[in-house]
Amino acid sequence: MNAQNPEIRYKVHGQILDSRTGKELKRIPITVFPFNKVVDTDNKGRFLFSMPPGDYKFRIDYAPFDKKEIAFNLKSDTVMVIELRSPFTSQYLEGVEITAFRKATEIPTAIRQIDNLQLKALPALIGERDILKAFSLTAGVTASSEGAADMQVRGGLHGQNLYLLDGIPLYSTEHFFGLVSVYNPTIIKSAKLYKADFPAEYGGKISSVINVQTQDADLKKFKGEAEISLLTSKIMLNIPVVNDKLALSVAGRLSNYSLINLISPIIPQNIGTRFSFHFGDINTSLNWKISEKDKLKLSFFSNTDGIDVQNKMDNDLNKVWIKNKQQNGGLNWYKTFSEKAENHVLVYADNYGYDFGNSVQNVITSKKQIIQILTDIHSEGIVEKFRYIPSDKLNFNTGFSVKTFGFTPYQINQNDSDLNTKKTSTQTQLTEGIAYLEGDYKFARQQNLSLGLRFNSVGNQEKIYNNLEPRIGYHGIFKNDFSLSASIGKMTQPIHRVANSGLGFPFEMFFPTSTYLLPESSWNFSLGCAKDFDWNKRNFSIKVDAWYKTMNNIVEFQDGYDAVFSTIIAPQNTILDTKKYLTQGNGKAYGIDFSANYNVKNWSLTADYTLMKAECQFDQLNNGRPFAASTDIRNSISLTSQLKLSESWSFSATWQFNSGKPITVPTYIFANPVSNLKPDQVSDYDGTLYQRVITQRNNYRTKPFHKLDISFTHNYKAFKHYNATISLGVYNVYNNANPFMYYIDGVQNPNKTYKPVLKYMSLFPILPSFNWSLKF
Amino acid sequence: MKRIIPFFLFISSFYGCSHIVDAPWNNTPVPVVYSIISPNEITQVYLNKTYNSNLPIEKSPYPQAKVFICGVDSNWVELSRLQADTCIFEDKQQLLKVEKGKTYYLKIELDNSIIHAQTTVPSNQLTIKDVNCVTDGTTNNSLVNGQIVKNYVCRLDLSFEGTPKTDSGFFISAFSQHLYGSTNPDQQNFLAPVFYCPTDTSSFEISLTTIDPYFSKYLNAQSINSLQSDYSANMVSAITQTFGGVLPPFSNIENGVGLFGSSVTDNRRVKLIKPVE
Repeated sequence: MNAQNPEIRYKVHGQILDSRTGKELKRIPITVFPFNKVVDTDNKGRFLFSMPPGDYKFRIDYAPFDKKEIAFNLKSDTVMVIELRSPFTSQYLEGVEITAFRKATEIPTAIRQIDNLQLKALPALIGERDILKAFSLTAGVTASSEGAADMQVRGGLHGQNLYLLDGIPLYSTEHFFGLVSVYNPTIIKSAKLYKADFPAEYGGKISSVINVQTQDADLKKFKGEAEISLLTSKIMLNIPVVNDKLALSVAGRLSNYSLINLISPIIPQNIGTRFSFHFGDINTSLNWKISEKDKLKLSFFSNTDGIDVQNKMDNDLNKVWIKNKQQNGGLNWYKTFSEKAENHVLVYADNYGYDFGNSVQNVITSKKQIIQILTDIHSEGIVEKFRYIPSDKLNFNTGFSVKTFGFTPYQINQNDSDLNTKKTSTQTQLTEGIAYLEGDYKFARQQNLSLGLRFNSVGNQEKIYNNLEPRIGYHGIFKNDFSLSASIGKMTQPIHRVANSGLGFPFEMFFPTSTYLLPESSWNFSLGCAKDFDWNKRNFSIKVDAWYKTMNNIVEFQDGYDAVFSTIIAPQNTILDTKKYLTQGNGKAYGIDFSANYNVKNWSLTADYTLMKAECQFDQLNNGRPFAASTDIRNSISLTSQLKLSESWSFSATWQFNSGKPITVPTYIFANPVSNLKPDQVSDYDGTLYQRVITQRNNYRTKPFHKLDISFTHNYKAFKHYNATISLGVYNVYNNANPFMYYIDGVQNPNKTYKPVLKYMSLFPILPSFNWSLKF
Repeated sequence: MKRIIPFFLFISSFYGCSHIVDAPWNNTPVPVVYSIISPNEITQVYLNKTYNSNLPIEKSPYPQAKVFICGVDSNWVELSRLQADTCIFEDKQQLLKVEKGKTYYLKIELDNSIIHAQTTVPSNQLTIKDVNCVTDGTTNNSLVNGQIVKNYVCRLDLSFEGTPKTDSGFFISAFSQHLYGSTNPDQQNFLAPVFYCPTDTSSFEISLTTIDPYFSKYLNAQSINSLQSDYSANMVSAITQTFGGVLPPFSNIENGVGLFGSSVTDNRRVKLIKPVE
């Protein structure tokens, strides 16, 4: 507390250094709280203050270094050496950090953190850096397919991860079939991935939590960043409206294809095939510092995706489109009661919509036929979080939240001149109430035990499900260079995201918990250790984490249904009854994650390896027999290396390997003996129609996935004043044809008949990557 | 040129390519059996083997095969080949009497294995209650077997009665065309607002066929299969129109694959109602 005695004064002196080069940093502004005064370091990076005893906070926010805040209680003369992160060696820092590298032992082994600078140092697909792809390079995480900006964590599906953007859950995280995620990299401050050891404040999904925080608007300084890559263009502006009181931050991203579409003339619809597609997103926030203890943040996020294909055949104009959009807005109120107590209230609303359709219009008669599937989800919520730190050894987190959902999983419009039908699935209202309490107790030096309990109640007038989710975590550091971590936690998931399970594209649908669909739940066990080695200005760290996960009431499509054909083909009334095409079962996954990191002055190497197994069992699938889960990627390896070539040039490379994932492929194929239905019309094989026989789910492994990406990055001053970065790289250097999706096709025989073949489609051959960014 | 840019960029981003890989079905072939038995129909059995792209296609791969069917009386009836080089066997003497609600057994003796299967003929038959086919005289042309056929555009309205057993199904057909099919009908009527009837026809036969559960699953798989097309020239279609689920299992053939099913059919003659000229 700031109970200061003016009679006594102590000296605080120290120096600020660049953690990468070790050089002193001159004229760095330090803001001292509670005085809110700014003092610069001298030419040798030194500072000296004389202050009464009490609680203080130093804030250092100086580009291109990471913002850093150091809170301390001044009881005697104090010496500090503060090292600021440089881009090359950056590791995520949270709160006070006065060491050169974040040691592997400092956080539990089941948690990974990435900050903005670390993200920027990684090579990227077609120049596009992506936080989810960065996480998919870490142990225990894989992407569902090549280039996909999604994550499968420890045997869980992409739809079983909680993706948060400034505390608001996202329904969709993908742009353009997953090519990039909706997280705009220019505004990401930090991201934290919990593979286990879940804090009690998080829940709603059973596999992992990804908490992405965006940068707060700078209240004093106008600044911005522009970035262009082969795929997208981005701009971020920070605009102080009232100095040190109110500021606006706006960040937008648009696919370059969208720009080309905008500047292209309207193409006559009766000519050939026309492709049009776009994606974009916008993040805005308005920050208002009411006082040192009260802050408001109003945020808005929106993303859209669309692909349209038009094709003219004879007199028919065919159109196929897939569109989705997602929006959310939130009002945050941060209240600091004292150094020991703070409160955060968030009120938010969001909306998700999906539109997949096909139309045929006769250009002469103007008659039109449409089949369209629409999904709409909207929700509103309030979140209350309170943190209290009664002593150095104990702190409490508690809170509650209430959220209401309105669900229309799908509405089908079928419309033509003679037939006009509309099938709408039941609109479901759902309310979720949550309360949690968690205590962190430091029972000995560097020994931390966390105990939490989360209560979750979800349902409506028809059915209410209550769940208690205990969370226990331990993290202890021994002799400063060895740590042990262990955790047990239960998670539940009321909203099911169900993906296609066969060949072809993995379309997904959302379904709420209902009388028939029970909430999914999981128990997550994790036990790990980490060890740091330091010698001769070299750092080496290694982490090992063994894990086991059980999953209950996971959801799959029944045989014969998928996300498109369960709605189109099924009889009209079937879509009202999910039990006709969905089924629930159980799964388990276990494995071991290894991570190693080696740092020397100009070079770093990170290696991640996971050995795992995942399987599931459904009474209604595969004759009740267990089968490999689609996430059962037995071995995954990633190697990332960064090399500083000079003061301004650096080089990075990433190599990834994933063993094949299970898919379902027919075991047998036979020529269909009937072209019609009556037994007396059985005929000899004519070579045109085949029937497939599936004897086992996920009976086939795809080809292993592996690729090497490299990039060179050059930092320089553009227009003499502005920091600019240009990255040139190569994606998939050795041009490996990695599978994106498998499908069955026909290849023509010499006698003009077709033979069935199994094919896979690869999307990304060797590709150049380019990215240029400018900070102003 | 400007039109080409987005197209080029789109294609270049999907430059990729399709690659053929070895498929699981290219393993040792197993026997394929297909037979639907029905009262008042001559019993036939089709016997072939599964497809393997590395092996030549044979018209009659099991020349020594012997095919038998029996009912509850345990008298095996041997079927004979329709022709010497065909894979279709038939009860030429019509010794087998197929009845509703009875169970029938199939046995096929091959050189080194015996195939078994059984089916129970549906007892809860759906029957046509009423059917109407009306046209206002509007005509349309369609292509049937390479010939242009002039049709009346009609409205077909059919109601039926009865409830099939769980998992059984039914289908409605006319002019050898499958009009509609389902399992466990919730509504006992069928309406086709657009139904083509050749103009040289004053009446036609419509059939309501009640089928056993395996036949129902087979038809379900077949209807999904028929959605599959050659997408090699159109990747967008490959992404959006490929069935992404898992085909339902339908085989009830022990030591082989295929279908031994049964059905019962109710036929009705329908008079086409035309406007008075």
